[in-house]
Amino acid sequence: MITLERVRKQYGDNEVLHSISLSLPLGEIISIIGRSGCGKTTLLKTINRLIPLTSGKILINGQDIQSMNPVTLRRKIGYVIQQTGLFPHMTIYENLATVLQLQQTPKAEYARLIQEIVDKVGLTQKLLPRYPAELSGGQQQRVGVARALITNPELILMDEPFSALDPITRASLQDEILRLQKMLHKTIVFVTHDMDEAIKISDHICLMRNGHVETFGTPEMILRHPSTPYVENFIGRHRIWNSPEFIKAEDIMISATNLCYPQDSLLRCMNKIQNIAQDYLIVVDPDTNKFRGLINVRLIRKQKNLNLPAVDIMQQPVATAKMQDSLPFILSTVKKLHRPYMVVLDDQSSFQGLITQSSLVAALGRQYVDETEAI
Amino acid sequence: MDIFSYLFNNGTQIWFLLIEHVRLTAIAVGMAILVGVPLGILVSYVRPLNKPILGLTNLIQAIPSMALLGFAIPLLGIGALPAVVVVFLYSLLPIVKNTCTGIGQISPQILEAAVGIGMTKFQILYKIQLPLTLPFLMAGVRIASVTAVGLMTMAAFIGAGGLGFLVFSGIASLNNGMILAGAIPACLLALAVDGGLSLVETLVTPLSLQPNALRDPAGQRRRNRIKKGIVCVLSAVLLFSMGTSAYHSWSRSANVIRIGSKQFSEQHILGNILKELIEDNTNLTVESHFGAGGTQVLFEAMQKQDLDLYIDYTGTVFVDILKQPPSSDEKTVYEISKKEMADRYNIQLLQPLRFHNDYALAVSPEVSEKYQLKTLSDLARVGSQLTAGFTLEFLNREDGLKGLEKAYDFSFAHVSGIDGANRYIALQSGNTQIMDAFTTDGLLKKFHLQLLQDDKKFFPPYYGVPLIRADVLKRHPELAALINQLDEKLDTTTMQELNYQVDEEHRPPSVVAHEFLVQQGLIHK
Repeated sequence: MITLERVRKQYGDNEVLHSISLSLPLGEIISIIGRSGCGKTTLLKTINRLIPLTSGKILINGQDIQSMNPVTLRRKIGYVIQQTGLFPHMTIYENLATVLQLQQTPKAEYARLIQEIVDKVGLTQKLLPRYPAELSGGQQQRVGVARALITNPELILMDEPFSALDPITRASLQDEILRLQKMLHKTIVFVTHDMDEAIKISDHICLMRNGHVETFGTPEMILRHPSTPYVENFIGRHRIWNSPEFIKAEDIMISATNLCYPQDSLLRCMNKIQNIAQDYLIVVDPDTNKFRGLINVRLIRKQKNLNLPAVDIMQQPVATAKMQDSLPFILSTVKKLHRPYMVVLDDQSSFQGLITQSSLVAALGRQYVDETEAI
Repeated sequence: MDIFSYLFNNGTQIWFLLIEHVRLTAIAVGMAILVGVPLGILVSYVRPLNKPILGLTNLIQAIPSMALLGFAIPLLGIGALPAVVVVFLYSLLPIVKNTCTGIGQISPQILEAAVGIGMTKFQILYKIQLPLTLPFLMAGVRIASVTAVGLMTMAAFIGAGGLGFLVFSGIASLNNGMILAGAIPACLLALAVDGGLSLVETLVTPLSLQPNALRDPAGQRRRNRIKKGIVCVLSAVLLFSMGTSAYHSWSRSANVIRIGSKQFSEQHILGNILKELIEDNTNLTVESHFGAGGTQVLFEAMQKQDLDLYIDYTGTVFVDILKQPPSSDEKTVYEISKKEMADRYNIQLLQPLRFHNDYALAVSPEVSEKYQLKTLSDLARVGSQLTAGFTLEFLNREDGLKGLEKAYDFSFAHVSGIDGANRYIALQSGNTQIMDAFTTDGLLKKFHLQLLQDDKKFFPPYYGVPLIRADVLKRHPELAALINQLDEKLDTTTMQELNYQVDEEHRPPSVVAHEFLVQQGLIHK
């Protein structure tokens, strides 16, 4: 756990960090995001003491970093910066070996470790004798990442590492980071100004504004429940459509009026159907609201005896969805089952709502309709 | 051609002077690197020091080199030390400035990464900053070295030797071959230094910072290996030649007499005569500081104990050093000088030599005829119509122009300061009509000039007189008798003849001196 306690930084009269307190969980990718000048990079650099604090404390696993030698501290923390910061007068091999040398790794292990890390970050061995300027931007930044990982630190700080790359390279490096993280489970603090990037790679996002933490939470939480108008405005109202997996069944279901109970007679059901101008009813338990099945006009018409209870003829296998099922999942289910509607249940199988074709259209249409409203 | 015959006859001397030149330059630039690089680093780290230090090095560079050499004499004496110090001071600026600039241009991103991965300040300095500064640093060293090679020719002015010795001597004796024999190697040396260091410059520049290298990295690496080879061979040759010459001078330094001379031919001949005479007849070795800028330089050196022996002239000692009013009573001049020099400066005057080399004014035969000039009194009549070209020393001495104009009560229409043999050229070309000369000057004979008779006996007599430091004479009392042998053999006519051989026939002073000594049976070889 990395704990920041009332961390303040002041340049003269200009307070860049206003008493920030945060707990960053281990083994996660945590993005710090915000507009330029919000203090995100400053905050990052206080963690490896590139920038000294004015007041406050930073603890890594309970140890106050102020009590550690800054050089020793930095050697334990991986560091990746935007323009790669590779040393232009050294080959790739030498760049990587420099870090090992700082760690007093035995020379005999250099070759093995360098080979391993180069494979890991998706580079080829033949790049090793080259100079950074001979590599593409993406390759350079892979080396930058390799340099941070080669000593196997628990904590890695990344300061806008992919901002200078073209979108395709950036996306592939983001994928790379996610892939590596699945293997390595490092704690990565990642500064970015790109919300899509933050949402894509982070376990937690820390949104900063003018030296304050505006909000801290999972990408999903921040997207679905922006805590302040600033957050909502920052992420953009339609941002969530870039991450449809965060749109859940509960967000698009509609409440249903066409309900009946298992013991209701078919006659009564028929009446209800006619009254509400629907062609089916949902059968739920009266006390628990537990979902039982469906009856529709076709099923009722087949019956001679309209005094039978609904429970006797209701249809059992229906398309259901859980509250937390995501939009892409629902859409694929709808497509697979060819059903015009889905029943949304909670974990206790209680009926919660309906997703119909029209409610789907309405939900999907919101990203466009909202926009026109905004204009 | 002058130059080829000169080169042919004096190959060894030129080679020796070249090596000496290289050695002095290398020491000076080497020291400048040792001091300048840390200073440059300091300046780039401690910003407030930037202005004062760069300002100071700038200021030093702005001082004329001759003036700086002049300042160095009272503090450091003559010879190699002041020359090296002066060149060192001049070399500082480009090195300090380029080091500072080089460190300043390193991208802050790179430095941040270096700090971020946990390098200590010192590691950052020698792993990142110095390698990335090297190309700038080498450019500075290159500028400094090329300048230093040129500047070092000035060092001959204070008796440090080097190729400037040939240039100054050549100017003094109007020997173009000799000037070129000094100037051309100096020029080639500067070009070679520039070329060699530019190779080093590319070698120390990281491949990635060479704009063309990355198009063909493999080829560049191959070329670099070749360049490395060249640089290694060059530096090996340099070190070897410097090492042998350093060993040479070290091995000789045990029992040494240091002899000086002024710039003109007669002084070179006298210096060489003393040198051979002493080396042949004693077990002492002689370190020569020939061709120094004048009485003041040599006298300062004597007082600094940088010099043991040289031949000056009675009148010069009397007027210039002891600041006495000019007098033509030779006996009194010598007696007073001998006593005063011993009392005040602890310098012994040996017995004066037979020849005297007085000041005289010379005119061309045409001018002499046109104005009917025979004596200085004749000159006083028409002086106001004539332009004179005098040496700087003559212009400033009490027994020179100042006293002369007073004694004969006249003044010239125009007076220019022209040093060395160039006065003869000026007179020959008609730019001046009158010049100062020494009565023994070989060039008088060459140009057929007419000396004007000093009918009022204004010019004091200038007998050659060996000056030796009293403590040296005490250690080596045999020197007095040895040098006094010269007395009879070296009369004015002989001296004139020897000067003529050097000035007109362009024979090296050392050869002329040697022949003289053999002829007179003063040496046994």
